Amino acid sequence: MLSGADPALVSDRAYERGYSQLGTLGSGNHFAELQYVSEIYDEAVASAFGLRLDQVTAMIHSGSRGLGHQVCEDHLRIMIKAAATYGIELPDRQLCCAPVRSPEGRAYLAAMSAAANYAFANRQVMAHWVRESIADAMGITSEATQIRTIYDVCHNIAKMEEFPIAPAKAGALDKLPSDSFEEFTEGGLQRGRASARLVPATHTCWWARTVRTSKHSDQPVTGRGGAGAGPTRSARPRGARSYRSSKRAVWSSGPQA
Amino acid sequence: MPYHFFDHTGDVGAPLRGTTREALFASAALAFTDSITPLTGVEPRRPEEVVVDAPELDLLLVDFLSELLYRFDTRGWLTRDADLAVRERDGGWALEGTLSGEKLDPERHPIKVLIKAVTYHGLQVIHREGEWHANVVFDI
Repeated sequence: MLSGADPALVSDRAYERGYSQLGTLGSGNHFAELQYVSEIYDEAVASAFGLRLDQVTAMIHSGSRGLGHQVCEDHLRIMIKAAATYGIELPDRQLCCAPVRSPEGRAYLAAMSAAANYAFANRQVMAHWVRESIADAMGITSEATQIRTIYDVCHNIAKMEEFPIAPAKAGALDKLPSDSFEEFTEGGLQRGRASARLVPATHTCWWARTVRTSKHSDQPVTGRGGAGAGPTRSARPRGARSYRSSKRAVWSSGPQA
Repeated sequence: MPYHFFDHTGDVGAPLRGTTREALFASAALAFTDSITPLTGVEPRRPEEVVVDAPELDLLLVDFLSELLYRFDTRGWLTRDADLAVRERDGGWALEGTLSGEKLDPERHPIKVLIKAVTYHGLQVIHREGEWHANVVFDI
């Protein structure tokens, strides 16, 4: 579950859309399917997950359904106004955004976290029914299936992350998208100036990490935004990038399956 | 037909047109229904009032379609016809009118695709050559 969720920032409409859809898969590219492990690429990782060759697994791809989409819709409206307020020019309204530490940014993060937690709960409900369905088909109890969750991740989400930064090389700035370092001057880069933006979107999640470089270290310092820390030996401008990963929950069966 | 559909990366796009703003928005409502289930199978069995306002005309289109999505998601509402008035008001735009349609009946309304959201991707509402045109992309 994501911390920082604020259910109060989830609108009544979002609750209404989510209420009837709890425990449902949804359409589009959502799916639930039985699978089996046909090949092991990394024994150590497989062992850590408790997976073995030919083991039956189940995978569910679904998320926050209408509740999440309504949260996004509600905050898109806010962000469209906010982008104008903060002087952010948009090539496409769907890319509306606001500084991550602005009131609009904070509100979105809190509502988004609540929607993500709804999605976790949604997948758990469906997992429960997958377990019951398999038990029913096999004529055993749900407990006897020994089906357990081995991972549950979400995408279509914004995350705050820290990354080590590398020394800038000559010409490196020219290879980056222009909007990823538009707030930097050459002097600003050396000072490690930082900013962050947050964009709510239904399929593509963008974020800019706030990184302030240390004067005496190559280690990154969590960002504060605004003025930087002074001259540094290493710096690489960060910028918005897309983030996409599987949104899946996987269950493995026990030895009896 | 005042609308047709085009593929958009993972979504569905709908270029719309109408001789008036009202006709444009009405065609958007029909395109929304037709995305979900064949429009020909939906009957105008009962009316529902609709009121939406937004700061700009293109945002009004998205908000109107989002209202239809909300009604479909929560009550299975399908619009077959829309009698609308679209006008400027208080520095923005307002839509008022009556929708005619019915509740989704699984026996008569096969689902083509479920719409997750109305997006702002490539959103455009313009008046060109005596006709209103719009593009809207549905997230499916």
